[in-house]
Amino acid sequence: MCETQGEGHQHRHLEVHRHAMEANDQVAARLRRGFAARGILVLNLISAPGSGKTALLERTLEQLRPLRVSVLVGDVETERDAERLRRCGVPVAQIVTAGTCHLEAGMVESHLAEVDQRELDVLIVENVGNLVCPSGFDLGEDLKVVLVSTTEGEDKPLKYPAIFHRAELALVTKADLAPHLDFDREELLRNIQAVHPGMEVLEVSAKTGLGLDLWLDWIRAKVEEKQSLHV
Amino acid sequence: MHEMALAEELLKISDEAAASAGAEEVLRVRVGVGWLLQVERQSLAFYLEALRRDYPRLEHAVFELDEEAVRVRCRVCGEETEQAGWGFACGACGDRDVEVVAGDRLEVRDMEVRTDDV
Repeated sequence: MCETQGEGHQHRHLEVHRHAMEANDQVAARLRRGFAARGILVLNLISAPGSGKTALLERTLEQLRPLRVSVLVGDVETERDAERLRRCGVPVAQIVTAGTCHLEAGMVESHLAEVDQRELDVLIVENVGNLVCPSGFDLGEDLKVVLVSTTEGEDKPLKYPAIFHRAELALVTKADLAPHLDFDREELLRNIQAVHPGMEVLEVSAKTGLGLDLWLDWIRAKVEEKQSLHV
Repeated sequence: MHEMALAEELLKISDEAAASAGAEEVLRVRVGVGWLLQVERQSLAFYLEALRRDYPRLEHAVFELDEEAVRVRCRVCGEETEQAGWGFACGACGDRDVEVVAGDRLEVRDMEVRTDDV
């Protein structure tokens, strides 16, 4: 720490090296320990608005039984998504961010009491529709899943690389629409691999059920993996 | 848009560090902006300016936002290399099995402060 003398005051150099995410990361670490202690698999679903997160979840929740699933759903305004998902008969908590473009670990923590963690195998967090801001905020999840729909264009991974880099799995949604669009499937897959070599990709349609079995099996395998660590 | 939340955290950290050093005023704050975070520097600068009104010590501080490149360490050959784009791979042996060791943080690195003589 160097100090220079001035007139009646001194200038000092301070080494700080503190990360802007540290407050969020501390809460996320606490959440992660809690989930691990209970053997709960936590998935953080991230996509642009309108890519079909909620529709996919409706189908997912119906078919994941007997696994016990709960959902935390983030939106800038309204309870609409929570109302849709509650009809699937699982506990759902809505996080209204009132303007914030992403979920933060503290928001997850403060809504956790609304789901019964003692009776839970999987917690799905549906993030605010946004491909940029949510990617850097750790919510204590095991895995991030990024959704990209066939209607969004093949270059999404190149335009929003951070989330494709960080996510474990990419779900290509609305796969049933592909034949009706100028959608270049190979190009999308190439772009995903360019950003995240080796990334797992599943193509699904909530409308026709195409590929859903693979997605459900993927979740079941991750649950089994998580619960095998929890003895 | 997450730049607003990040600016708030940077201001809090800078103010805390200044307070714990007994500083009256912060003159300069050096911030490392990791490339991997995709932070828009102009937007971050805007929010730092707008939000610092709540932190009297930081009223006249100059924020230097230095971009930090991504560096990875190869799990195969052990080399550490800088990355120029996405799809990270070892710059030495080309293997994809790498771990990010720099460029994934937004941090207050160091600062210049003024303390009054006691």
